[in-house]
Amino acid sequence: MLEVRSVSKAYGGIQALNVCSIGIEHGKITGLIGPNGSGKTTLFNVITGYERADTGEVRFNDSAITNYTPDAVFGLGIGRTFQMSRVFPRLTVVENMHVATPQHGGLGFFRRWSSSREQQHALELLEFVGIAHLKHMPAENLSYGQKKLLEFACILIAEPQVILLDEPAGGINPTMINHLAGHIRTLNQRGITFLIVEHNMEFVMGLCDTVNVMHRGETIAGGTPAEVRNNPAVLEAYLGD
Amino acid sequence: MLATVVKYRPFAYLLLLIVAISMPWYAPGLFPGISVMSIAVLTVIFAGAASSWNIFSGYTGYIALGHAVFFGTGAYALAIICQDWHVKSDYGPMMLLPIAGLVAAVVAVPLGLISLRTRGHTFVVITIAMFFIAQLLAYNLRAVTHGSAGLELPIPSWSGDAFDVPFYYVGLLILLLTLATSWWVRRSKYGLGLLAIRDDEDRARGLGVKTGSSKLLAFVLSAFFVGMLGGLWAYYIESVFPNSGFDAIFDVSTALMAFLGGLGTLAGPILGALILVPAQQYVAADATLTSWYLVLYGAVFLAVILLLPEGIIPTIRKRLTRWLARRAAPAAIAGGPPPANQRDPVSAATRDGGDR
Repeated sequence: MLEVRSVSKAYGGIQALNVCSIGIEHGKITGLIGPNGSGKTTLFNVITGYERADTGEVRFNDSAITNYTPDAVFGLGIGRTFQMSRVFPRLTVVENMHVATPQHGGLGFFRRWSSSREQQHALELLEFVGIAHLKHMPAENLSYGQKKLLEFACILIAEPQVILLDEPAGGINPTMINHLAGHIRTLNQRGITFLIVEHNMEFVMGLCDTVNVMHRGETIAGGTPAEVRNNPAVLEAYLGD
Repeated sequence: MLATVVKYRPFAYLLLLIVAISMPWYAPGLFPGISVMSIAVLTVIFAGAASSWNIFSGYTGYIALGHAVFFGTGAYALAIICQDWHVKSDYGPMMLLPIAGLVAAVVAVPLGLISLRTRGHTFVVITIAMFFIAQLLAYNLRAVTHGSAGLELPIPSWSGDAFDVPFYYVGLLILLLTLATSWWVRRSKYGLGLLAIRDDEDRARGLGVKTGSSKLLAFVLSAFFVGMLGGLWAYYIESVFPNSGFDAIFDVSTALMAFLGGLGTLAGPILGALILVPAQQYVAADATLTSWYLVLYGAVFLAVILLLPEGIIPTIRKRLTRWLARRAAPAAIAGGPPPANQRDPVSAATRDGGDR
């Protein structure tokens, strides 16, 4: 349903993405791994409109969305989180949740920031990730892990079809990682497609249906977790030169 | 306790409104010897200006230091309209204030489209540059503005103590309109988007907030009210000159009032104006001290930066909440949320991070 075709992106002399292609199937959890600097986050940025692709094409549900603006990409149903979680520090947790509720055209000048139905939905999602008791707290007071959970819940309120997670397990304690994996599975069963960048191999291998490996801006391998684990090219990318 | 505070809040507002409306009856008797109603007129004008500046700068975090452009545009617009249409004095010019506001709002559209392409310090510098361009235009477009000779407005027939009263009420009305708009924006979905832009604009955009048009609308809205107040001010002074209509002190003082009271709060800018305008008038009234109010402004600016970086209202609110929490549950410290000043060092250090 989401497809990246031969996308390239260079920063000055550094080729962050080099004719990179990847496909994400509907209803699956796809993992994306690779050494540091292999272009994973750049790929996320290109898909979600935060960076422009030099060449190549991004397609979503069979239509090209290359270089759409971030709000347009989000509007189509592609949500993402950031490696360093980005919440709105001076808004409360509940207010954070409502930033992403659909605006139904216009700027929302004549709408309250939360209808009671949306309020209810936001609380359910906060319950779901387990931080509902912090709802009136300014988001800057949350711990690192709690911010990640809030960012995750924030994406969910817009009911996206695809969620791109950038290192969701980074800096989170093992118990919370298990919780997170559980949430992702539950949501996946409800029909949400995932693309996950992660360094925690246990997490990726346990959760993903397919795993893609990136190295120097290209995808060098792809397949089931077992196939990827036994692929010599992957080992070389991580351990070689 | 907190519930009690909230419960009585509407009554407090009502009381304040009554105090403001009945001002012309008691104030001159209360402060004999000084022209208290003329100070009141300037106070409501500046409170309105600071409040509308806050609708844009306070909510979006884009610090604009060029709103004198809209104040002056409103002032000149009203003067020119009155001249060309031969408007009769007294309430005639008052009726035309919305047009002065509209002219300022129309001017704000291209200025906003240009300046809002930038952020942070660059935005501040561009708004200052726009201010100087506007002032230079007022000096040099002599066919329209009469250059440094300025323009005169109709002279009202009111006299004596009654002179200030209509200006005071119209100013108060515009102030209340601004405040109502500010309140409306704060509780709307649109306003939440503005606050999200203040905190992290790119992230807000990624969550579907239409950042470009949201910012522009806030900019134009605040220009509209500032333009109306500029018109009212010009009519009150009965004339407008390039350096009085487009006054750099206006740029700084509206921002200072909002900072002092509390940036991004509803009442903050008004509180700031209530403190600073009378203080400035008091100092300026002494013939030997006329320009010393600038020193006063500088001192207040320093004090705000050093002692009250968040402004009066947020500081009081924070203290009050902490005090109430301590009174309500002295034993409930264990298991409670971490205090506001105890930030996570990891996320604080890496907030802007993210590799490629």
